Amino acid sequence: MEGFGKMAAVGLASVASVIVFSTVMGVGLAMPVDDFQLRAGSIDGQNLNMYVGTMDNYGGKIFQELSSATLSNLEIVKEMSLGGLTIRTLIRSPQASASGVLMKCDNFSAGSMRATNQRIGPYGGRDFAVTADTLRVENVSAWVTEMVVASLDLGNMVIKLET
Amino acid sequence: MRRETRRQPFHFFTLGRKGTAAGLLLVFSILLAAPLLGSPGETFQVWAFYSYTWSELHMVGYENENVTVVTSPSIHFENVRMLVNGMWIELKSADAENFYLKAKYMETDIIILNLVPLCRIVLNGSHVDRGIPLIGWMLGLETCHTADAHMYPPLTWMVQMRNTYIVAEELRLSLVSENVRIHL
Repeated sequence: MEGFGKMAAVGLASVASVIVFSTVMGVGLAMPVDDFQLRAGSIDGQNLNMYVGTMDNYGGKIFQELSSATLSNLEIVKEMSLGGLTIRTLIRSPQASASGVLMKCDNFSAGSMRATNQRIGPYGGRDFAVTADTLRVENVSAWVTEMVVASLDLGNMVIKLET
Repeated sequence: MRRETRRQPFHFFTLGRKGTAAGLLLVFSILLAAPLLGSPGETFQVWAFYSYTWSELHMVGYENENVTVVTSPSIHFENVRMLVNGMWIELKSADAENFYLKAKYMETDIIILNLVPLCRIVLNGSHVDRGIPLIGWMLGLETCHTADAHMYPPLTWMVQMRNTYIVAEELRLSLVSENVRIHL
């Protein structure tokens, strides 16, 4: 029985480490990461370009591009279910900055929004898009299906694993 | 025996040299004029429950573009929903500055002093389809006329809008908003 317990513990630890490793490497090395919840106290971004991807090419997602962004109280939550066991990975950063951000999401909500020179129409190289020179959103929550960043700095990052 | 003729079926499609030149000229002139005519332009829809301004409000119809341009240095909106290319943008309340809207169609209830319903106005393209009786001439929103309304305080804050629906071609503004939701 003792041996079985040790084996289970080793198995769980290895599964958990793979999830943490893949998520952290994905975010930390600015590689595409998919299907996670993004929460942030605030996002300050520049050169917003928001549009809807076509159903045939992009599965009808909301695309948000920012040339650069500063995020406070960033939280990335990714849940995985393995054999009835749900493992939740949380990556927290009090202050993060990114450049060349492309976020593909299903929905996006914010407690408040401030945008300068916002435009809706044929802008940003698209037939139809929402663009803004600067954007500040607070109390953000978004379900992100894919995120690509050119560079990312996660200052004082904390990783937490919950089962 | 039937005499052979040079006439061919669909002979009227065959043009002589002059006809070909005229045809090419026509095609080229259409191609050159197309950008000047403007593209049909995609539109998006806006619903706003309530809006008012303490600043100026201008509604000017442009017959050549068949649109009415609505501008205001600052305007307030409540419960706004926008459907942009299949994407919903919902704002609980929004304060807009340097507001510029190019509307293809607009209808709204006009209320006075946040209480008294006055009438419903309908702007279709550059024209007023349904205007404001009696004071329409003062606001420049008379039926069967091109929209040409210029409202200044205190008229702007006396005239408020409710249940507004707009089909727009373009919107430009600087925005401060609460409770934003963007979804498909």
